Amino acid sequence: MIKIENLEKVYKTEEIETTALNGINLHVKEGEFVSIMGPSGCGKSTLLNVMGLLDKPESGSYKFVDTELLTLNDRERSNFRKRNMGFVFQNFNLIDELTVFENIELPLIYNKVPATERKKLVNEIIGRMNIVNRSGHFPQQLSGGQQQRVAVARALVTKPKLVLADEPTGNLDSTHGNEVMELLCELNETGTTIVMVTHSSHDASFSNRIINLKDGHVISEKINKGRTEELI
Amino acid sequence: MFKLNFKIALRNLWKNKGYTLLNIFGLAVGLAGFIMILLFANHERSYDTWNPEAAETYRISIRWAPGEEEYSSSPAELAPALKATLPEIEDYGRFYVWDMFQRLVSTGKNELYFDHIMGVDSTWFNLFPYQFIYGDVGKSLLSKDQIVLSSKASEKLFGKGNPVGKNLVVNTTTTYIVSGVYKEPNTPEHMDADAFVKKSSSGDGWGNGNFYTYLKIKKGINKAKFEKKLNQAFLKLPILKEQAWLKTAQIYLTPVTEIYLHATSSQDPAKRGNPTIVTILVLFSALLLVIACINFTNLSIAQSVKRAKETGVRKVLGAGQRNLISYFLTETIIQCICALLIAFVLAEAFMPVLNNLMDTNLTLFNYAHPVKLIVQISVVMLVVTVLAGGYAAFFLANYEPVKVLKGNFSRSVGSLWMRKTLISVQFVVAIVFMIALIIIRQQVNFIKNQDVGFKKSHVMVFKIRKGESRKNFAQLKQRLLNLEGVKEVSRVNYYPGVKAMQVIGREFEGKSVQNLSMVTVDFDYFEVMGMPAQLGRTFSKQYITDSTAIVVNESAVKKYGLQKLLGQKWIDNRTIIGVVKDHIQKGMETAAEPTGFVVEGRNTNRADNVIIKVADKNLTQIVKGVQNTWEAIEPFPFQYSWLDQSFANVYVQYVRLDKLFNIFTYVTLAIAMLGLFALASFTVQERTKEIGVRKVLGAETSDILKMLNKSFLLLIVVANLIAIPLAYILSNNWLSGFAYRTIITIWPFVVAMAISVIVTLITVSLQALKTAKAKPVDALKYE
Repeated sequence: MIKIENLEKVYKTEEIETTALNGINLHVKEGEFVSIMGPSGCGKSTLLNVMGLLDKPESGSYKFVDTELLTLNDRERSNFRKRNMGFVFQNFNLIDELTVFENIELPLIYNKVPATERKKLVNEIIGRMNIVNRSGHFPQQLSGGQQQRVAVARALVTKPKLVLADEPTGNLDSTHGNEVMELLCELNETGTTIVMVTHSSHDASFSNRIINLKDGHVISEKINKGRTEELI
Repeated sequence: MFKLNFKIALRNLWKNKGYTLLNIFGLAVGLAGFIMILLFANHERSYDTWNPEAAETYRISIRWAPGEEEYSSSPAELAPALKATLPEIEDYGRFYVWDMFQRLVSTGKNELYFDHIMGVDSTWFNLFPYQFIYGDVGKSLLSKDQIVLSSKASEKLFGKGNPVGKNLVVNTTTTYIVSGVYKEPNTPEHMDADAFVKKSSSGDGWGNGNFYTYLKIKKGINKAKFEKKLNQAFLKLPILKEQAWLKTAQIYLTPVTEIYLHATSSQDPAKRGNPTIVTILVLFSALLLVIACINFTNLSIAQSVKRAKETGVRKVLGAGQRNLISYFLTETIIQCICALLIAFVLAEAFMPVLNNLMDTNLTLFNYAHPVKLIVQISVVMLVVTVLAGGYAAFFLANYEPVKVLKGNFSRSVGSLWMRKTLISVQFVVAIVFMIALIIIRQQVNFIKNQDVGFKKSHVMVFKIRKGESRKNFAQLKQRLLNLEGVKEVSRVNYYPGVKAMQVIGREFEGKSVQNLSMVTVDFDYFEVMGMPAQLGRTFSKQYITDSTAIVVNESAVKKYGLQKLLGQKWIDNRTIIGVVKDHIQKGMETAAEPTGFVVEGRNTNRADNVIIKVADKNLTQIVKGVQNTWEAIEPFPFQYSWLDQSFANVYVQYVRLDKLFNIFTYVTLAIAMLGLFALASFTVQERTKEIGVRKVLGAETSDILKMLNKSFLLLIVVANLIAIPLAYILSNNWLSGFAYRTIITIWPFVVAMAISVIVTLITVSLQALKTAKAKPVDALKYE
């Protein structure tokens, strides 16, 4: 589904240039669950941001199914993103002024889904995420685990083809972290492609394939057999 | 501690130069405007305050019967009669209205016109103790041939030096000896004076009410009580037994310092200011200052996001709330003082503009009551410091350290509310200003285009100085008419724009005719003025009887019910021969008064101005011709005016108000925009992350712009909702002071609303666009 070739990204400040991505090649199949691991500053978050069209690389190619995404303009990128991708962040990135329900509803609004339909979809996902009694609360009234569940719900409500997760358990304790990972697995089992950046090999063990990044290069790839077998 | 605070404050201000400059400059503009208006208001309120006896000096005014107008003139007999019965009256002084006319004064070398030579009692200087430079006050007005000059008049006539003992010839016939020169007081006076002579009449009994009486009463006497006592004493005067009509009279006292702004009498020869305009200006300049303070507050709070962490650290290190407040106030005070200094510079620079506009001669550093000004400015600065810095100081000092250190500040709902309210208040003010400006402008245009009831263009007016000229006027008129370009010639005493008029009261066939304004004219007056008869006819030489006829205006017809009296006898046995349209005499505040026009005769006032309707081409030549002819008739320097120009004086103050409001409105709008800009930048800063999240979730740039604008537009709509009724009430109130006024339409409100909305959209969008267009990843990284 995703074909990334020779991706390069350089950060420039006044004094130094940092090469974050240095000729990355990466293929992700539909329905896969891929983890990207590596030390701090290896470029894994940058890669995820580029994949989510949140950031622009200097050169390379990024094909989604058969569409080249890097030549799109801002509006097209924004449209593509809101139709095909969902995001889960380490720090949840929920909007404090909106309730749980409204937070989850937001991407649907931007996708111009009619109100009745929105209500149905949001309620459905709230039910699935087991946060029904929290739908009127504001993010800060929830625990970290609950907040991340809301964030996942928000990422999923548009039924995206691809979910990008940036250290989804980084701010959670192990119990809540496991809950979230299980959620992602369930999601993956229903056919959604997931790319996740993580530090934790425990979390990575939930995925089909683990890609190791260092200094902007892919240094190794590992098929997670246990998980793959499970899949079969 | 203070030294440290001061040092840190200076460093911080320096670090954020941009904000500091905006802060200081915004405040300086507000302060400068306020100081200038303060000077103007002080000037308007300073009339006659030079007089050390002012607190005990009152002018008498009388309402002769209930329901009639209050007049500031009185019979000469009144003051001595009252003084004889009331020991509270220490002294009195009177001037005679018929002594006030333009005089040609000659020293032999110099020949000059003086408009303000007053005929007064010899006691005058007890009530108005001018400081004499030359001569002896006590001996200055003992005889009829003595004259006391103001220092300015003395300098004009004699140059510097002591003129006491020198001779002056007035109107070529009467010789006066200069008996004293007094220093012009340093505050303006309600009566202009160039010189004083003894009044020409000692009073013609109770029938001549053409004196203006001032009383000086003993110190510490309550005005209201004394006024009551005065009226009681008046009713006991022996004269009332003979003259029963005096019984209904009510006497009023006006403190001499209040005549200029607050006298209520009509037909007042005194200079009169407009207290409403003074109040409006002070109020609006105070509002300007308040919104400058609000701005200061908002800018400080907007900046405080950056300062929050510093505050948190200080708190953790043990700083109490008090230390922090005093620290932030130090910062504010430094900025306020800088703003004040800049304000002085601005005020000094723009003072000529104000002087030009208001026709004043105010200066910042050469002021009659410097102590008062310093106290006023100090109080204002104190208020400004508290207003501008107070909220920000408490706001910053109240950050909870834990939240701040965690990076979770500025989200407090209360403070956001406060800032939104402040911005709304600014816009309420700005919108009220805009609406007021538009309505003032409409009214001024309305006034300018108002049908004044006569044709004012190309009418020359000049004074007749010799009695002979009036007697032989028919012949002189012919000489003037022979000149090329002269179309019509006549005479009049009170031409439109002259505020002091003759007002008479008579009885006619048992019916009382009160408050009829009388204008003395000559034949052809209505032709010069372009006032055709609506009914009947105007004066014509063909009818000998016209010298005892009267022409009235429509108001007189209405008031006295003269509809059926055309062609019949009326007051003073005069036949009503015609009715003319009402004309505007004194200004747009007063509706046309019932007026009668009579041809000059033995029982009328003198028609002592020549008015000439001239052709509209070759004006310079025509004027030259008239001047040559008239100088041959009267050997004095020729002075003339154009009727349309002198008439414009009746509304000049509103033209000024319009111009001043123009400045006010732009400054206010600019400051409000500055405030909006600050709040928008603050909001965008605060919501950067949210904007990023929304973009990740699919929001486009336009969605973000819409979202940010929406919250601000809501504020502006609320501001409009508050401002519109407020502006309506204010302008309706203001307009109700005019007899001739424009109708308030919906347009000023629509325009003001549209401008406020557009300004908001532009300001907010400019701020928001950068963040809205940025790559979402940058926004997400923002902390």
